[in-house]
Amino acid sequence: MNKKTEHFLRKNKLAVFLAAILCLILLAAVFAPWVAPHDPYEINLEKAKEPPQKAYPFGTDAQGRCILSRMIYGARISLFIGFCATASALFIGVLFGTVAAYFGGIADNIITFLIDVTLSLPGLLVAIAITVVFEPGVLTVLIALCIVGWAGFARIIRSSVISIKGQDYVASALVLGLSRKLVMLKYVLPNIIPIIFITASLRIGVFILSEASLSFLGLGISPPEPTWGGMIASSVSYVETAPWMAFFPGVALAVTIFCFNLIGDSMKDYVNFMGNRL
Amino acid sequence: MRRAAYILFVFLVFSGCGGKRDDFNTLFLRLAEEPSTLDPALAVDVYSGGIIAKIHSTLVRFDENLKILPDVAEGWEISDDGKQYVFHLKKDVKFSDGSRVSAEDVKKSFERILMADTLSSRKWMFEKVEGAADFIAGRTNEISGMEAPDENTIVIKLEEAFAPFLSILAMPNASIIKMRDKEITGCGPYRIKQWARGEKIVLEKNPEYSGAGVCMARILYRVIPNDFTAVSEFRQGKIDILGLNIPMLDALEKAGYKDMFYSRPGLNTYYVGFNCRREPFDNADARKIFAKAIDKKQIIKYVFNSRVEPAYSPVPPVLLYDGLWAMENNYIETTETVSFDRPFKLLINTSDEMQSIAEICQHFWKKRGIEIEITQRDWNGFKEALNNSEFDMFILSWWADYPDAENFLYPTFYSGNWGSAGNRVRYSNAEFDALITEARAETDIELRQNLYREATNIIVEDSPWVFLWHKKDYCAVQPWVRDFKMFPLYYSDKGTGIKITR
Repeated sequence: MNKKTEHFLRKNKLAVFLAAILCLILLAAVFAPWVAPHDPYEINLEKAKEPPQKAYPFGTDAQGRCILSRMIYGARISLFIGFCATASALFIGVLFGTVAAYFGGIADNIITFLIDVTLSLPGLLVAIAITVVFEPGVLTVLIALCIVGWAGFARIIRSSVISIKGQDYVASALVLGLSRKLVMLKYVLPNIIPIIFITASLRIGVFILSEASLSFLGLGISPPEPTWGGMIASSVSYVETAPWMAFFPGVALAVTIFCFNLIGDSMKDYVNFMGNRL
Repeated sequence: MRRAAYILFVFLVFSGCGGKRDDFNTLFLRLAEEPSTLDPALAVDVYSGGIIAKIHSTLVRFDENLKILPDVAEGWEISDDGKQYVFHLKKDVKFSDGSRVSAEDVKKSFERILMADTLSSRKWMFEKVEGAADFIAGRTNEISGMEAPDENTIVIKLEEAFAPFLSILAMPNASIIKMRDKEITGCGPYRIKQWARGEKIVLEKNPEYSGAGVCMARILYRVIPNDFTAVSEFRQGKIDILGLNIPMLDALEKAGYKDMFYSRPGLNTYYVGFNCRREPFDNADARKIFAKAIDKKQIIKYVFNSRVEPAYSPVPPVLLYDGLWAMENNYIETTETVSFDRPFKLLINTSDEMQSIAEICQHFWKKRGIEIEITQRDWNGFKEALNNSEFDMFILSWWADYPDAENFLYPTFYSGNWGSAGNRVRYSNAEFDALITEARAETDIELRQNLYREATNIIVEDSPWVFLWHKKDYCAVQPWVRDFKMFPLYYSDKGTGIKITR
């Protein structure tokens, strides 16, 4: 770690703290079978709707399952969908964005049109429509989020590539006789990597929230698989009598999304601070 | 968004005016949803039906004990063969515009349901009337089996004896109406004063109503979609009578409102249905293995806090008032496991309640070594999958249209009603078919009940459903409401008799 980075991190203690929390959540999700105090699927009707206590730190749900254990397993699905949806949407977005910007002409027109169409549709509604048509499951949710999410990436990448394309070093590389493909891979793409990281970390929260919304509507992952959105949905009826059921998954969702957004922001500051280079 | 804005608005407006009541002539009620229509021919939901019952009258109606009472008709005779009904109308019944209700109005009201361009989904109510099929198909412009020999008499002839017909005539869809320039006028105790969509419906006393007991000048329904908003409105005294589901009941009980609760057994059955045409569910013994694995008493105790009644047959006990002898469908404690060659698909809709029930059933079946995959579909997808038989099992509830055991047996298990008509499990049993057909034609109540009982026992022994529970109806009533009666059917409450005291 160089001196400048160290200085930046010292100034942004909150970002470091949030990154640590996120790492904790990630670790808990990865090592769920060892971390979770109970089996998240184990129904125990005699213990239904128990408030937080020693054996069940976050209480139990309406079927007597341990809420903490379900949250830890739920983190797996939420984070997995968040990362995978971002990665796949990003892949399509970068591909279309660079192709449109670099080749221009008809390719640009068609892709820009597609981007505009996708962005003008209400994202969550389209996602709901997709999950209604296809068999519910992780893959359906991923496809739905990807179809809705790629355009945002594509637009940002396209405009960044256009601005980089006009730089003198790109022009000189072309004058030197390098092929367009090589210029693209060696000079243009490396320069948009910081932008990719920033938008991706900002979007991940949105995807996690969309998955939660779909699960909340009962259109996400099939029960009894625990998801944060699904857990909140099934505790709505108990808000008055067993508030812990909705509270803890809600907090987990809010904290995770907040962490991702703030880290995205800090990353942007960092890139600016380092002079647009990673 | 608009709903949210509305809730906020209601909150801001009403939080400013304090808890003191100054209007003793208005009954304040809650609507959980905007009624889809107030046209009696089109109404199918409880919200529409509940309001229609207050602004319209039917030939006969139910009292709070499900006894049939005269309403527009003052008396009736049923022929010995059960095929002919003669109704004598009261001479002083008037529409809210002051004109008299005649037998011709009754005839037109019923014909309207069967007309193709009315687009009513309740044509089945009058399908058994002689000549109805020809009328529906447009071959005749009058129903041959429905006659008005004079102003006060209407004669209805059925093609075959159909004992529940009188009950059907009490449904809100059979309301007597007068159409003028597409405006529907009713002859019920109230009439519509205002319908502000998404906000409220105001009914006012019908000055032409000749019946007794209309003590309220107005009924004000407010559309409050969120259950807990409604609970807090009730606690502030801004709703007089509030229908409760179990979470609302728990919340109000916790807040100390227990002595304001009323309850009644409800006319519904929650069940798990098997696909009786698909192996292994084509075998009653296999179905019973599934049924006996589910400990409904435990679910009722811990999930519903004992607020539902366990179901031992498809028919709610209120409608089948004598004991059943078959008990083949109930939980048996055992550690034995069974093995099937594949996991089974359990189809449910997206409601949280159904999800919770499905997860618990899955848990009980797993204890017997049976693997279940839960498939959750939104309501339309769910219905489509049900009608196309794309399931091994599903969870659903059946609610009565009219209070007769037949309504829980014939649509749901008769072999001619496969699919959307109600027999979604595609059950078929010739012996049952014969019994229920006989029962439908039997006009003697005792004999009919015996036939229903026999038919029900066949169903219990064959177990095409796992009978889960019958939900009870609950409501909370403010202490200033007098002479409140709880009706077992949402449409038998005409809003009469009830009073507000200072």
